[in-house]
Amino acid sequence: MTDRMLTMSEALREAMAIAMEERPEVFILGEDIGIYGGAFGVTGDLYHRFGSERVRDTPISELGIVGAAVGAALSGMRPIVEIQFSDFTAQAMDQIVNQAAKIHFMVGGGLHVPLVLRAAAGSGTGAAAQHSQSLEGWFANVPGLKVVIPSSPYEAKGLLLASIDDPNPVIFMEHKLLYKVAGREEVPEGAYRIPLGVSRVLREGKDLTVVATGIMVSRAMAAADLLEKEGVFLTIIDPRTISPLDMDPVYASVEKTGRLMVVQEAPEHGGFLNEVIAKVATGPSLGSLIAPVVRLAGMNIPIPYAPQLEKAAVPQVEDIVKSAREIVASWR
Amino acid sequence: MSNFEYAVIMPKMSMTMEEGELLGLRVAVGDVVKSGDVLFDVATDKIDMEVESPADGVVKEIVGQVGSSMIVGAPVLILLTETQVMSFDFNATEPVTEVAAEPAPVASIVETQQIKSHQVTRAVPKARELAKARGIDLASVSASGPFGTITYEDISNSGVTGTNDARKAANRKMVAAAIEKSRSIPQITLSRFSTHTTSSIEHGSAHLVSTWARILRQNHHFNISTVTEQAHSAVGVALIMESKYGLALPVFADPDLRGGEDLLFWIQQTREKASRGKVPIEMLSGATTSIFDLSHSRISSAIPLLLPSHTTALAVGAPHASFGESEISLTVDLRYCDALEAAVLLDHLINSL
Repeated sequence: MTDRMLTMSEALREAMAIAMEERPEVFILGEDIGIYGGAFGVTGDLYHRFGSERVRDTPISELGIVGAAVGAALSGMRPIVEIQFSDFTAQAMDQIVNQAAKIHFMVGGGLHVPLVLRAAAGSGTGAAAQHSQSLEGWFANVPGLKVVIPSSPYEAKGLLLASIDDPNPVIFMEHKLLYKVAGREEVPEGAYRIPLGVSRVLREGKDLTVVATGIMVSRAMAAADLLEKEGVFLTIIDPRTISPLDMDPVYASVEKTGRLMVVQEAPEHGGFLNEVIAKVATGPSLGSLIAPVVRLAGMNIPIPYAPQLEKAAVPQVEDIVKSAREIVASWR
Repeated sequence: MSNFEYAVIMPKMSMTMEEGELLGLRVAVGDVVKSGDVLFDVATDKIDMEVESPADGVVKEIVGQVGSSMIVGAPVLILLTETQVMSFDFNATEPVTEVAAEPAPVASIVETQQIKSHQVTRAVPKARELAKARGIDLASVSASGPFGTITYEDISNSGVTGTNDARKAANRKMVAAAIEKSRSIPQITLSRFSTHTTSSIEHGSAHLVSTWARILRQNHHFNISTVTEQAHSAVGVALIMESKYGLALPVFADPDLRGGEDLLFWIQQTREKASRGKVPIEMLSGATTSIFDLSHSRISSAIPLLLPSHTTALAVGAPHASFGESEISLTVDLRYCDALEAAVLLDHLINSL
């Protein structure tokens, strides 16, 4: 194969296929992931390749799915749970938060819960308030859970393989709008793993440090392309995993640019990227700031159904361009 | 039923309100008012508002001045009423008879004053850091940033300098920090008397600087950077001199390669600039050794201290009153040369002078 510009769905499917070939204990479970190929087509033909034992369709009960997966993980399996919409994790919260996240610690490290929970997150598909949320902040606030947000097909494949290897639960938040698009870089064939807890500096520019997650990474990159023509240069940092969080590249960059912008789709109030700001405010690079920190986040409202309002409720490329231009011009 | 005195105060109408203007009074002393009657009007930067009477009663006294700005919680007028008006303190069980004894307004006045005393100049963190390093009082800088904030450029481009005392203090701290670093270096100081006498400090310093630089160039294993552990290609002599802001250390690069008159003029010029607090920026780095020339003072000797990354430091004292000889002291970093080598080097210097 020469063209390796895969979509994120294809990259995720490859990762799961590789994991299932590598380890017999890996299996996938979720709603409509078998014959139907998944609500967003991520599992695709895996049912036909690996059979109904390893790609298991389940009844419509998120609590039951995650509960079964926690039990399987405790018994030596490595389940990958697919939740159709991350909003439905609310149904399974007790199993995720009170069981999966805690067990390893409450038995003094004697047991592991090697479970990956993949969920489709984010707005932009016209699916309205109960199917469009970005809930990663909930999970980042629970010790014992790792939270991964891939921003491209390349990241998705390497991060998912590392997540499946991880001995304890990983929440893997996939933005719906990224499923069908290719990234800026090719997806290598075969297995490769991107370690959890290592931020990636995607681009270096002297004027402003932008920390963004998920789909906001590609929006920030697009904004950086536009701003470069005006002579405003952005550094873009993708934490990739928000828990654990690797802040060192952020500190190092803020020390160079003196300005920080954080971008997330989740609502601003109580959002995860506020943690990045808090760490900068209490960390070594505070004295390097020459501008107030800028937050671009979703509005504090349920995601509207009307397409124009849905778009207006979360940061877009033009919002990033405008705010970045302003902050660089106003604070020198 | 007894009468209570109740103070109607300047209300707090928003989270940020600290004071309001008393626009006008609608009542006079002796007026009978009913609960809900408008007593006076107040204005803030956001809103104008009518303040109503909390109870039926008689206006006993007017405290506030129309047109004046009053702090939140300050009494505007005193109402004589038969009703026991609930004050802000819902736990109060005793009837409030004294204005001064009313807890809520007093508390809010204290609180307001505390907020005021904690107000600080707005500046971005990096500007604050730079101002501190330069000994600049932020209050003396005009702010160009949004919300009246001092930006980094306001400090870095302003040419604003701190007060002499602040600059001196900042300078002193910098020198102390540098010396602090060299304290842990194993070092030895050797001294010898020399008949080295000169007509003027400039002549003396020029002679000393160029001789010392020439000796270090010839013995380049004494002209080593402790950072790279390599011999420096150039010799930079930091000559300690008095400046407007305390001691300054302008660096004379390769002084031995200059003509005598040329170096003399350079030192004179630099000393004059330092006295005005204007050491040229290109002379602030590149030192590989230092000289403390006290030959024209009354100090007979000083122990030279190593500066960071230097392996040698030299000091020259004033000539002794009876013998006429000056004490020359050399400190060396023992990791790079031993005491015997240092003694030979000092002999060599004195013979060359």
